[in-house]
Amino acid sequence: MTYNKTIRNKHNLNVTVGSEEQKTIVDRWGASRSGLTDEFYNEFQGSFTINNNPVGNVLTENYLLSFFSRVNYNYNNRYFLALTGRRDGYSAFAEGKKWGNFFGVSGGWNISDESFFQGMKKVVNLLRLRASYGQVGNLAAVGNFASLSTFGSFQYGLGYPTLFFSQAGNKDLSWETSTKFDVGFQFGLWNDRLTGELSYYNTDLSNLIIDRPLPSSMGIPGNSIQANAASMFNRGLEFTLNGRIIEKKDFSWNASFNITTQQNEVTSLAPGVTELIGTTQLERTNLTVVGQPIGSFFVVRSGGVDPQTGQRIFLNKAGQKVFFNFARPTATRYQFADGSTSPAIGIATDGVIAGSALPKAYGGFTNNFYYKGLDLTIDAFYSLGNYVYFGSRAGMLDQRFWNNFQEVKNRWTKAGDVTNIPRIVYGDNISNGSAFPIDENLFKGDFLRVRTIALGYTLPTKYVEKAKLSSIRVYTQVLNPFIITAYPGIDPEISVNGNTALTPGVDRNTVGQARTFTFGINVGF
Amino acid sequence: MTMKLINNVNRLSLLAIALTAMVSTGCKKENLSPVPQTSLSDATAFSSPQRISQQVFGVYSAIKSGQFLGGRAMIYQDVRGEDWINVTTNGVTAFGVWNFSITEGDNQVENYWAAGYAAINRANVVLEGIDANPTVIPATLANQYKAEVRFARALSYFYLQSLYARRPYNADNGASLSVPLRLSANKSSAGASLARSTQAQVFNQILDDLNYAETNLPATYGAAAGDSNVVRAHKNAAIAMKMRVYMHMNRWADVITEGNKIVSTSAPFQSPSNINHRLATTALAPFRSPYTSTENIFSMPMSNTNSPGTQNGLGGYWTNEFGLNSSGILGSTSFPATDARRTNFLTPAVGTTPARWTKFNDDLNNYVPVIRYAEVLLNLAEALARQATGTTVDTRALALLNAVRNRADASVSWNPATKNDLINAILTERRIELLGEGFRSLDIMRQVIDFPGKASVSSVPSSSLSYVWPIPASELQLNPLMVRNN
Repeated sequence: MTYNKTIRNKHNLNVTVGSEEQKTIVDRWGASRSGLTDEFYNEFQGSFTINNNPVGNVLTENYLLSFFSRVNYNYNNRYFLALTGRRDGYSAFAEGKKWGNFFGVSGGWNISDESFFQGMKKVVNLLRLRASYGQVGNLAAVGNFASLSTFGSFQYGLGYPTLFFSQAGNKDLSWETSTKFDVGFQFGLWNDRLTGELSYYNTDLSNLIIDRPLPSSMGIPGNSIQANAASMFNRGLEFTLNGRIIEKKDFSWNASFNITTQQNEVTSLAPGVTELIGTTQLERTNLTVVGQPIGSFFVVRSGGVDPQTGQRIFLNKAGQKVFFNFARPTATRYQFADGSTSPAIGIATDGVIAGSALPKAYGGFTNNFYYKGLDLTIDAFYSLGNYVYFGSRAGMLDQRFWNNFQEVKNRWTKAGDVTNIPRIVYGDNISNGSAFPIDENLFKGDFLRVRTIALGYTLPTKYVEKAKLSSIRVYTQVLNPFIITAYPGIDPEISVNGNTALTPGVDRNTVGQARTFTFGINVGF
Repeated sequence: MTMKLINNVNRLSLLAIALTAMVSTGCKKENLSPVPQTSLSDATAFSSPQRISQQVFGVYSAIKSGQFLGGRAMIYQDVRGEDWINVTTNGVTAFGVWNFSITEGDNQVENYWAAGYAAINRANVVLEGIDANPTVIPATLANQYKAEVRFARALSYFYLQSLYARRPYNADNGASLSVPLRLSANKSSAGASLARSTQAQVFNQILDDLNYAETNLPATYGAAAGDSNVVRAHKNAAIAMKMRVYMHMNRWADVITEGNKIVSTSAPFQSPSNINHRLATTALAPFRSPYTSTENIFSMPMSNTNSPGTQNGLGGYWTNEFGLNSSGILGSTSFPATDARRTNFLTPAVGTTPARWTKFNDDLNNYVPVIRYAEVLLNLAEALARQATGTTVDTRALALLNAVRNRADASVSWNPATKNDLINAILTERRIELLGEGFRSLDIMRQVIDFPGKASVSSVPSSSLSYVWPIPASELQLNPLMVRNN
């Protein structure tokens, strides 16, 4: 419901109140078949020897109910004030904790509309200051029934139906909130030939919903309970610049550039939880601790390869050099420089935080060119200051009976060799980071990726009209044509764990982004 | 082939009029508190006799996990011994267990611990649930269920301490640190901190559970009960397990006391009480369908639809991941070509492919024996042999030993000259009879002797830290009272 009122042509008021509800029901059936009786059968209904259990059955729901209101006021389109408030209820949160109230306020000042500014208006046609402060609730990470303790069913052997404790619910589970403050200004120069915006932002995320880990000796299903158990901030500067660089009758060039700097830091974890371990497949690659970016890399430091013996040198927690030789008996594989036996190196005892997958800055750069009927678009994206853990390299330098990267040819072979690949010993899965992550496999992941190059030609109307059509455009485009990076793996912009906060930036046998070529004709009738 | 049917229903409605929204809140209250349709609430999980029965089977299904007694527990216990050669050098399928290089962050160390304690917490939840709902089932049935659950809890603690305790019980009479004893249900994040108990405390708890089990378990589930007499705990299972526990405490007199409850004084040896357990007529029968021979006292049931899971099945390990060490028991002169265990289970080496062991030949369907009557006879034989005075060769012990041997090979009998020869013969027979069933590491550790070397792997002395497993890294991080093995 909206209310608009203008008083004396100067006071503009706009009030909106509303409500929104969203109910999601997922009702999914799955089946699998195995034990084909004859290769002839290709269909589900064919003949199989096994009456398989269903797979992927899901029946779940959630419900979100929101009331919101917004009051916009401006005085003479010069001073702006907006107040927002909303009340959200979500089914997944615990009884008595389902509702959250969130408020926001923002203001703006069109300096360029002030009378004192008019002298500059030929150059600076727009200058606007603005600031905002507001809270919103997040619910993305929460399971639909995470507040409830439940028992699931299956079978024991054949003929014994089971019931078992399957989820420990959290009776305190509630909204996570993000409080964002930003302040900045927008500008337009030479009649919007050049426009842009610069702002500072700080987002505090509190009561973050995470799977709070519990010691596995408690026997809690999944060894975790979803809880509002962490907080962090993101802060930085955002800068955008758009330009109409050339504007001629037959040729024009528009460009747009933006950069966002980002500082992320975890500020608290649940009581009793000092760290959150991020596991990739079978190894612990990431660690989240207070004072560091979320999901930072966690590796054992390497001291290189000993030129005399070709042994991998690890640095233990105290920074002492530990020489590793897989060929020695298990008990004496790890030795200090003086030949005395060192305790085995391990990720839990000797791992250190070493960089983050989160970029320190990122942004994009887009160019559009038009020449007569031709148009060309080049769209690029870049990321600076991020690291990538190249787990595939650990696997591909593993000395069990596996394929190796060509790099293995640089291995140490005789005293005096200075190299980064230790001598090879059959079965050695430790020296190159396969048993636990080492910093030798952590690489800078800065990149500039051209995401799209698109070239099109629109036929002149005089030809098109003869064919009784309104327009014809032929085009070709390449998605992901190339990337400029020093990262040695296939692609620094991939994550084997998908888009997860606690285990970002791990490249372990991951497939890079595809390059796609498209050619097409658009015809308007 | 996999097919999936997917049906998503999403509804989104935007109501721009506040009044309508207010009205809708009134009738949407239950939308904000939906009840899961595919799992039971904790309020009703013990509300009927059927549900309580299912809860008990839920505990069995936990110890049956492929990470635990349904597979990997037996595999780990076997491959630490000297009779196997690792073939695949795969870090996720016991390579590091075999060569004693396993570290505290290793998934096998983490998963085995987690599987054992998942079973223990299920047991504790069910014990608490039965007590909290005293009117749902009769007291005798409640006691029987609790006995089944406590039997499963005892097995879980036994198999956990065997790898994570700092020293075997026999090294210092139980003085060393063992695993933490969790005996009450965990349903929330409270109670994360718990210190390790001593081996003596853990063994006391195991015996307490088994004594309760022996008293309250049924003698039999009846002839018509399908495989219940094999896959559910009964009196003989509790007694046999007590024998094994006493073996690990060098309490020979107690082994004999328990053994005499379920082994007749003379051949043919069989259980005079409860279920009439006795050796199956062939060495093959206990391992082949229907897996319910007279010899199978307690097993983990498997089926196509209830298998141990990928990379957990015994068959896959003994026919793919590992081969038999030609310098191990396979090469022993006490294991001649005429032995039925050789003719039934051995696929000889071909070229560089080592000999394989096909005692388990179907990962989906082979039941995993946990307690067999052959073990009971060998346990009793060893206790009798060790209790004999002077250098006497105990005649009943020898008869028990040869009952196992002659079932597989009537042509060759043991004929030891001294008490020590008899004990060694029994230990050798165990390696042959129980090969692939998870006994070798247990037997080495209860004697507190070194693990012999094998292929490129050196001997591991009983004083070495790698004689036992490390406490998992995650437990050390999240349980403030947990301490390392050092």
